[in-house]
Amino acid sequence: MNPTDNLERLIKEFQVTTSIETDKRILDDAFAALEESAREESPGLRESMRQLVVFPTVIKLAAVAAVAVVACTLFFKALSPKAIELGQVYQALQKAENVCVATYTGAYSEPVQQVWTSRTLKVVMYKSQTGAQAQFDLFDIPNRLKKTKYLPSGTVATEKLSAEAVIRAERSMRDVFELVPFANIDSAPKGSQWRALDKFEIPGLRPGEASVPGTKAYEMTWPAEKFFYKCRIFADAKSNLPKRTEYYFKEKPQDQYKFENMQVATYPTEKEIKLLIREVFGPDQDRSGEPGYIGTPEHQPQ
Amino acid sequence: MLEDQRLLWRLKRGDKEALRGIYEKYKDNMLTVATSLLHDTGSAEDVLHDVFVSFAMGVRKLKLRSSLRKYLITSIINRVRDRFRTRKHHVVELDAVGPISSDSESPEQSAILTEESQLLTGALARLPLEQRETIVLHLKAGMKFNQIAKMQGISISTVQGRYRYGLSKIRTILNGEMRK
Repeated sequence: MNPTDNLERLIKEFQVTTSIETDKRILDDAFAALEESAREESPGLRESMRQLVVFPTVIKLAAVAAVAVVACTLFFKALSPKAIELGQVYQALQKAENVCVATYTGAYSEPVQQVWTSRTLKVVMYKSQTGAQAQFDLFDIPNRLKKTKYLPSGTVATEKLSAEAVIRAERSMRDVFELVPFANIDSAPKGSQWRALDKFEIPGLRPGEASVPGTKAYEMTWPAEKFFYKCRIFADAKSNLPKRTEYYFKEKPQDQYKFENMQVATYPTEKEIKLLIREVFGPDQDRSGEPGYIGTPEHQPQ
Repeated sequence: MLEDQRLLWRLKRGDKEALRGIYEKYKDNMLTVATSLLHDTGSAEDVLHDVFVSFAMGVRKLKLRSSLRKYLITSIINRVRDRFRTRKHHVVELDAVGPISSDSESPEQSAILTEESQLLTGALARLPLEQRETIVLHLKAGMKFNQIAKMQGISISTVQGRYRYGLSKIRTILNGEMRK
């Protein structure tokens, strides 16, 4: 290694880390900024606030109390006795071992992204783009490897995952895959509402897709945005796992919601995920680039 | 990249945990770039603070044309440039021997930076801003020369020249420090 390499390496390795106090200060201010921007940028909310201000004080207080009571009643609680609460959907997702989520947007009939997550195998595979331009990214935590396959050439690039990347990948495995709108139930903004939908309230997204068999439909709305958001979750009637989640938005309260995107979930077996990875990246030895690949062993110990 | 898209997707819907995720992922890289350019961890933390709070404030309108990492690093660079403009940070030329430029002499700074890092950032601080920026963008932000050229609106050969000349100066400075 020549002196230039040494110097470049020295500069590359130089790293400054934030203190816990700094992290807290910056995050507190960033969270406050996020909330402030939501208030400033939401014309619908501003309008709602203006309307509230012109009410006489007593009416305003009564209205606020009524809204609070209704919100408490509706939030996280379904109307139908057979319905489930939002928390049960989160719980079901956190227990799911293997999940495949396909994301569709309005313009595409094919998914724009598919993500396979196996919490038991500790692997995540992404497929982005479609058709001949598709790209697969495999995060293999046991082997600390990231492999990328580019189509149509079939070229495979391999890189080591840094310790930080491993932590991030592990964290992403614990999440809820966008099948519910927030990473955890506590992140839901104030004013969020959750309710079960009746059959007649479910217009079809596309012809023949008015409902998802074996599911019960729920709707969640939340206003803490520039836009007002709504998601519709079709949860399996037995397992409570979401099979489809549709996202909609609108700018003003009086507008109609517009479709934004949709996540379709399946829950494959560990074996199915192994087979798929093998199909994309080849046998285990080829995936690791080294002999003795142990990330996805064929036979799990009993 | 895909992870960033997911985090941004959630953040735009008001998910605070996504904001925390982005912060945790990029904070050290952003702080290191700022410290390398400013040679002062206190000022660098202020820059990190300002960039991240601005990011949180404007993220709902954000439409990324490049990667999130590049966007955040560019924001750091721009904020550092603003600092140099408004505070009239003077660049210490190699020939002008003197103390290393710094905004503060806080004890915390010494606690965070090792002696080797102090020497390194001290040497970087003596470079003209253009050379320092080129070296930091290439080695700390992982940007290629053509990306830096595009960002700075100059030719690739100029970027490469600044990079080589900057490294050569750092080596000279460090060799001088070692002999002391």
